Amino acid sequence: MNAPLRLRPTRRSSILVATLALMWAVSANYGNNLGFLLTYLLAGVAMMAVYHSRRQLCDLSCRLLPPEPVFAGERARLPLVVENTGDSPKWGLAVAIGDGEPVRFSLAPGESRRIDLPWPAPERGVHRIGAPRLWTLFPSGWFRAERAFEGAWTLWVYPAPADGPPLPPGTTAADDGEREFDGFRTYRPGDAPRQIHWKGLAKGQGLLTKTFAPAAEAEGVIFDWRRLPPAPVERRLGWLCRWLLAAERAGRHYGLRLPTEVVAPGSGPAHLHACLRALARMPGERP
Amino acid sequence: MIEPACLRFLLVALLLVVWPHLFHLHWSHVALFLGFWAWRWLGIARPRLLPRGPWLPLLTLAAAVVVIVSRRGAIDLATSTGLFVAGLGLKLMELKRDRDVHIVVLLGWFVALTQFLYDQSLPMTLYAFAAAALLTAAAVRFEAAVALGWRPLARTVAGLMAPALPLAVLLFLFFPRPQSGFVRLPFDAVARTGLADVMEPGAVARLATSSELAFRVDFEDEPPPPAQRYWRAQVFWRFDGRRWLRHPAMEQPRPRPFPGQGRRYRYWVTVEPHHRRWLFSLGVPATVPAPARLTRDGVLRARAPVDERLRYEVVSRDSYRFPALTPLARNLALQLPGRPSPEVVTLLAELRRGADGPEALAVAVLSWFREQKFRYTLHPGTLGPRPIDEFLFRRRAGFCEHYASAFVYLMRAAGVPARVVAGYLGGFLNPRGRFLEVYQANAHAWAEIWVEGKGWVRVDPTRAVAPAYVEQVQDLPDPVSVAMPSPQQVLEGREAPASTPVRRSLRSLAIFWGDLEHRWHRWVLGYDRSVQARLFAWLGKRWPAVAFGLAAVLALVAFRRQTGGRRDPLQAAYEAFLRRMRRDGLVKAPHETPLAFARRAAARRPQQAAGIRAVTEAFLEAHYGRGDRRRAARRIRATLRRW
Repeated sequence: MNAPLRLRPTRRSSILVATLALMWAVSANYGNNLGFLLTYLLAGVAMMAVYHSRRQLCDLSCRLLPPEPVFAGERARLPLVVENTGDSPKWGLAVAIGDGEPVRFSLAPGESRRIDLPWPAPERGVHRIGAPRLWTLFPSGWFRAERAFEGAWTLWVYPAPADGPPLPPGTTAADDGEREFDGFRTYRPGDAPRQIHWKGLAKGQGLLTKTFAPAAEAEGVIFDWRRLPPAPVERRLGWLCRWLLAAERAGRHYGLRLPTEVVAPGSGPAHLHACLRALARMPGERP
Repeated sequence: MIEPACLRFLLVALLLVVWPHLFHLHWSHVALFLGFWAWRWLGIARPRLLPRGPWLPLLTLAAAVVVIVSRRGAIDLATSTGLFVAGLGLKLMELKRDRDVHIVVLLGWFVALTQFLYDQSLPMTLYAFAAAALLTAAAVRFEAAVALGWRPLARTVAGLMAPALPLAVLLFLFFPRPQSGFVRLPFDAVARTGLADVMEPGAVARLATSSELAFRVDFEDEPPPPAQRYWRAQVFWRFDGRRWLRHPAMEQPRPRPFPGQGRRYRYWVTVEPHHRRWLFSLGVPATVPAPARLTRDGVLRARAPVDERLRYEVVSRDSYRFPALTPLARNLALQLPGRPSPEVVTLLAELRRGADGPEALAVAVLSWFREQKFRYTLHPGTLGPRPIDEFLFRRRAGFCEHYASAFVYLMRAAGVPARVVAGYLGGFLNPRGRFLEVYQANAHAWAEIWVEGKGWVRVDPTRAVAPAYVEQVQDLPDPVSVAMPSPQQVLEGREAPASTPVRRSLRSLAIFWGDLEHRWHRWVLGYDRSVQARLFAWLGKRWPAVAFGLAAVLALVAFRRQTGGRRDPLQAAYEAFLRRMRRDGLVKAPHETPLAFARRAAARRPQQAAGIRAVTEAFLEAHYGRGDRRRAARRIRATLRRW
């Protein structure tokens, strides 16, 4: 997982070289032994700084966490966890994506820290973002030790909601009470207590959840791409996005029909995200 | 934006770096720096106070003008150092970005170096290295991104500097050195204590209370007896009634040293920089060291001003065969500023009665001094228009230069060629290093008279007046006394303060320090191209042994890293427990499991059973289970402490 470490002098180290040269020249000029000693001490500190810069990036592991999806134009947060597996503290670490704004932090021995890297997401779609670079200038500022980690984030950027035609009314409102019993499945956290099969629990069958067949398609509203007023693709996707959010907020049953795919009606966060993902991966307008 | 705490740390470090320059530079240069420094310090809390825009170039110009005008336009070391120090202060005004911090830190290193051009003493060296460490700490703190506590900061700086020091020493020993200087800015003529160019009343007395070191001498064999430790540096010929001056004709170089005879002393003199050309030799030198030439009046002169500590080898003999006096030298040695007064003429007529030859006359003059109760004092008061007469017949109190001057005057008035010699008398024999330390307080003036058939003969009139003082000065100053005791104190027998334990330990400390400092000068400051060449030659001859030793050290380091380098803390803690049990007479057999051993031990030592169980459980849990090894080790050690 860990890529090799790269070490290179920073631009500031040219000041170091100039200072060393000046100090050496003055010492040599006056035959000053203590001047030589101080010059070589500075050179020795620089050499040790190389070693310490390298060591700063050893014993570090980096794990990328799945990021939360965002709407286009928002700033995404790309989470990662950096862990110091060594037994010495790591100071002055910086992590950034590409040339983006770095996040600076330090790690105590054994400490692990979650870092959310900001990433501007201007365009909808599925983005694969390569792992960030981790670097440090510590302890001297003359050398930069850098390591690029492997792996990548997959970030969903949904189209931004856009103002437009009002939400089309559904044919009928979904009614939970009249849905048809479908079967049992094991309980998952978040299932409504009403759906739990209490009798089965009393019989010792464990926690089961009653599931119901989705209501007939006619009962939900289908947002159909073809029925939208003519407009650019991105604009139309923005309307759909707004409708989906509004329908979910209203607790309605909704589905989606796009030229590329169809999402059967449903509701709940997972369904909403499924619809939004469909919008995100919809191909753009062909030029 | 730089964090205020980091900035304050950096400012303090810089202040400590610049501080010693207060003793070397013109006060206005350091004042400039301090002004900028204080301005910057106030600017941390109130950034609006800091200069902006066109002010910076104006300030730069003003600072440069102050430095150059205060040095009266002299292009020398003090001016350029002053410009650097003031420039460092100016740079503080625009301390905004990371880059500026780096520039300032590295400038700080350079300023720390410039102070070695003025002072290379051991304490100053330690101070400068500490200041450099502090600068490093400031840079490290700045790079840490979080407020670094003192302990991790100290550990990081130690991790940088401790291994850097041996690296620096290796580079120091083996890095090639250039032949000599390229451009040497002259040292400014700082007023330093030391011998003056002319000798006037009070010139030597001024030095008599200075505890500053003048030079040190290592002898090949035993040093000469104290009564012979006269260090010649200057010969004065012309007398204008008040001051004694040297004569250019007598300063001409003499191609060959005087042929000497008698006992031979070989010694090495390490002169403290005094920015003049005086060099010192025991009496007249029999050899001429490379950095010097010999004058016709038999003193050594350095080829260039002694701006750095200088070490040279000389041989002196007991006595010399001097060539006959040239007419010029005889004229000069008999020169008088005017006709002697009738009083002097009468006195000389009286003294000459019964005295046969110049030496007898000298003895007569000295006994006259003694009989007439001449006093020896540091503060004889100022003498009027005819200093010699006033001194001889009215004041009758003075310091060594008064006596030397009056004595030579009388001898010349009596027709005996004579001259005044100045230099140092005595010195403190450091019992640890067996070398002589000669201080400014040892400054002395005496006379030499020309005796046909013998040449120049040394006469010390002060010895006749204050023998106790001369005896004392031969082994003075005691390194503990900051100033020499005054002659009055010496004559009244107050010179020897009661020997208290504090005084004794101070004295041995001072002796130890003097020895250490001398070694420092010899081995560290004296390391140069020729010594380096000798080192290379030495290594070249023994390269198989050196290579083998190096390989052995490397192998040892590698081996330690492989095995014992990082010991398991848990194992170590458990072994500490086993050692404790062994001391109690319980040894764990190799085949015994920890649990079995614990059971056996607990049965034998019921009062320790709880501890034994606790240690064993902690060990087993961490070793075979999921416990944290480090924490378990800490717990075991805590239990052992409470045993």
